[in-house]
Amino acid sequence: MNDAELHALITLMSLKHAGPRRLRALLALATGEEVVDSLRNRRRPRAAEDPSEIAVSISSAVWEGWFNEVRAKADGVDLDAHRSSGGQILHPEHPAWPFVDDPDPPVLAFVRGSAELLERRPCVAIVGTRRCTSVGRHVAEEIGRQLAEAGVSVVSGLALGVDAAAHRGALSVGGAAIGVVASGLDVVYPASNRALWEAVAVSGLLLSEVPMGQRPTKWRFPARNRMIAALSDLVVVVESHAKGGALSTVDEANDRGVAVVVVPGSTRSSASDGTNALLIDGAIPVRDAADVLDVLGYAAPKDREPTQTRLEIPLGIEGDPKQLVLDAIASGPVHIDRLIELLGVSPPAAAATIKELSVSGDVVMDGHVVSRSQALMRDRLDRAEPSR
Amino acid sequence: MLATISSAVVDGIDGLCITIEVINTGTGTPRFTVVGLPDTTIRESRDRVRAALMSSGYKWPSTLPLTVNLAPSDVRKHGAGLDLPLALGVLVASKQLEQADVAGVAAVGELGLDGSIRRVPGLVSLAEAMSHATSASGDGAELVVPLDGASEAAIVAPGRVRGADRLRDLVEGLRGEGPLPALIEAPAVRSHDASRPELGDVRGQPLARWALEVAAAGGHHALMVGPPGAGKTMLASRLSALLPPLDAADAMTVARIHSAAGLRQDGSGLDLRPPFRAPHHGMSSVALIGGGTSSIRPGEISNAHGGVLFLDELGEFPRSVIDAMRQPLEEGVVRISRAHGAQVIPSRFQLVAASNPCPCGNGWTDGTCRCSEAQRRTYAMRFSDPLLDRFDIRIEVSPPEPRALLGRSSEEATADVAPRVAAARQLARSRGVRSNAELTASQLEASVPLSDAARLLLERELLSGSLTARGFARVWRVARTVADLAGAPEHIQPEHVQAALLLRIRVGALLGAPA
Repeated sequence: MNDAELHALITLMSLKHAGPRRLRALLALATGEEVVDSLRNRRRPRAAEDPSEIAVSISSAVWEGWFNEVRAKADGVDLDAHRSSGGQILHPEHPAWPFVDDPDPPVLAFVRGSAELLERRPCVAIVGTRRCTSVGRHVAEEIGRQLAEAGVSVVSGLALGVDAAAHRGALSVGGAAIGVVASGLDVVYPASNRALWEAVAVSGLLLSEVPMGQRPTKWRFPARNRMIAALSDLVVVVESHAKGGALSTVDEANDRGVAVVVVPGSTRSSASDGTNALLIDGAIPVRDAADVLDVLGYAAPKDREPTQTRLEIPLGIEGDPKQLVLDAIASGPVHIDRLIELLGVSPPAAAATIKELSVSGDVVMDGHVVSRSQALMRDRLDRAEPSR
Repeated sequence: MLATISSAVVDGIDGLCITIEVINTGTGTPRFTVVGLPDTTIRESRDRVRAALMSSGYKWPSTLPLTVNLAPSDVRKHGAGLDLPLALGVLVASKQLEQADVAGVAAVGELGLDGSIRRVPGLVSLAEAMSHATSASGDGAELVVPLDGASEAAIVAPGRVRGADRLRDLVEGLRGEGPLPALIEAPAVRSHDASRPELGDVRGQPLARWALEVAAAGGHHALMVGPPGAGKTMLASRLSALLPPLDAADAMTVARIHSAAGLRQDGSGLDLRPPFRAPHHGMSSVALIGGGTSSIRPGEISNAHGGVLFLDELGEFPRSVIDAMRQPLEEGVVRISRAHGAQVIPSRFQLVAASNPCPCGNGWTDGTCRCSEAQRRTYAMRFSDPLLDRFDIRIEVSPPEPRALLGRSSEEATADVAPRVAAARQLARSRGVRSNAELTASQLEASVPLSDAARLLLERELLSGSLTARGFARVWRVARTVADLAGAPEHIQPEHVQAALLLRIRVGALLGAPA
């Protein structure tokens, strides 16, 4: 695809209300350059003059807006900006184009980082609410880390909460992280994720269908979710409120035949309302990365012991204070007050026990709430190692 | 006729003895001039004195040219406390009273228009200044102060204070026509008693109770974060009861501060109980730090001197108010500078702060938080890192189990814990400080040894980045306090460091969202 055509396509993609569906409808009838030319002359592209010719409706107010916008936008497009600092413009003829056969592909995709990650399999999306609980955050981070350790690319939306935690987990072990975002690649959103955003760009891949310099508008987020679903072999939902945005990723995954697995949560936590509803609807439950890998088919389910693997870890004899603590937090996070009462020893003695468990990585402390870390048994992961 | 009366004024918490001279210059037009840097209240004093004299049955010398001098004349003076000595001076200058009648008397008090004598703030400092001056001249003067508040003056000058209620009764007593108001003895000293807040009332919450004990034993500033109803205020109020009683010098300083701030109850003596002050977050920084336009009044941080300053809803305090507190926190005194000089007011307090974890108060650990990410972030921004770093102890308080609220309390009472706190404070004194929180970095290195394993543990935390350099020393101090309470005399052991680390959790885990 030549630069003039790319330039024209990016101009069109920068227009207001120019979603991928509308653009594809126009481009099915003419090239990008032709469309831009006619808009410049304040004319609808010839084929679109008859509204019945295109599959999606475009109101005359939108056409009018495009006529006015197109000149300014065309002057503002800078192909070099999209190609600087490790950036590339992917188009359907590009060898790494990941949206082959997708029902709703973007017109172009802008990427920064290692585009070859798009050809690596498997890719697993970890998505969930921005307003997650501390448990959700830990779970997302651990699944992200363990999947990355197993050689799986972790796809997510670089939003706050679950998304950020999943990427953080993957990056913490030098794993592959693919961040699909709803703004131009030079517009960090949310701004507080800047460090993570840069880390993904450097050691993973950032992908967006939004031209450089554009802030995200509201409809861009569900559109971003469809690309997450399109890029992934499996979608893991960690926590979602009853009407959370993560559920739109689930819908997109269902449309594409991508399996969705769900981390069950407490029935009393509103952050798990959406995920638990998915389980009722028949989604596959997963507890950790090993379960995810099972679903992907990298480990035979029959290898798995039905018992709680946690208890196999030799931590001490019965009545050992450490074991008491681990048992107490087996069903969920517990405030340290309860543990002190349970152990029946002085607070400093209990504190020393708990702190030791936290140093050894058996428990996770969030403030003074103690929960169990989901450190997987080494051998389960080894067994689940996918072929690369 | 020259009249000379001793009196005193107060600025900040320091009293200054002054001499009031009233002279009838004999010639010239009738007038009443006050010189010697008086402020507005003293200028207005003329009208109060005239009304009080007339309604007490004395004459106002409207035909005389009177000049009043307030010596030393180079210090600014303010307050209505000079009404009474001024009235006595006018009586002497107009020959309604003999100079000899007032020779052995220093007086202070505000006059009402009906001739009543009203209380003024700062009587402890005023009495102190007046008693120093008069005893220096060797004539053993008596101090006449308002009856309401005379007990304050009696704390510093027992047996030499007369509490006067009405101008007429006082003047008749001075003339020898009636009895002088009785001399007042020192009121009884107050110390911890049955009315002190009871730690046993706190049910469950072993972590918070322990943290409170460590805070009291080591003088550590503490931050409590928890949802509404977790009992943060209740816990904080228990801290002052755990602290050992003030020594005599500190108690006297507290009395002077509280007297100047108008906080003392009438009739109470020297109070050895450490103060507990809980100012509201709507207060101005002047009210917190101290200050004022003409006269300087101590603020809440000085009112809490020797005791506990409790800031509930720390996040609701304006940033400027909180930041103004940093210098006094560091130095133990507050310096208030004015064009006409600086005041230094003691403000060595133990800071206890409480906060909700987020605007809705529920926190995010259980998923019931209703705040948006942005709201939590904005909330977290209100706490400046330098301030948060000053809390040696940072804990999350959970509401007590409903079970713990039922039935009889089996928890340790204040009387059980206070002796342990006192013993730990004794150990701190053997290190040359009032409490472990005051140990400097060099003192820690020199005289607070860590066992090898404990040092290794602490260094690992530092290297892992979970501890700042300042946090390093703070955990060290708290570990010493934990060891003191555990009766470990020599080296700090790893379990003490672990306990101290557990009592100082990461701020991000407490406030706002860690993302």
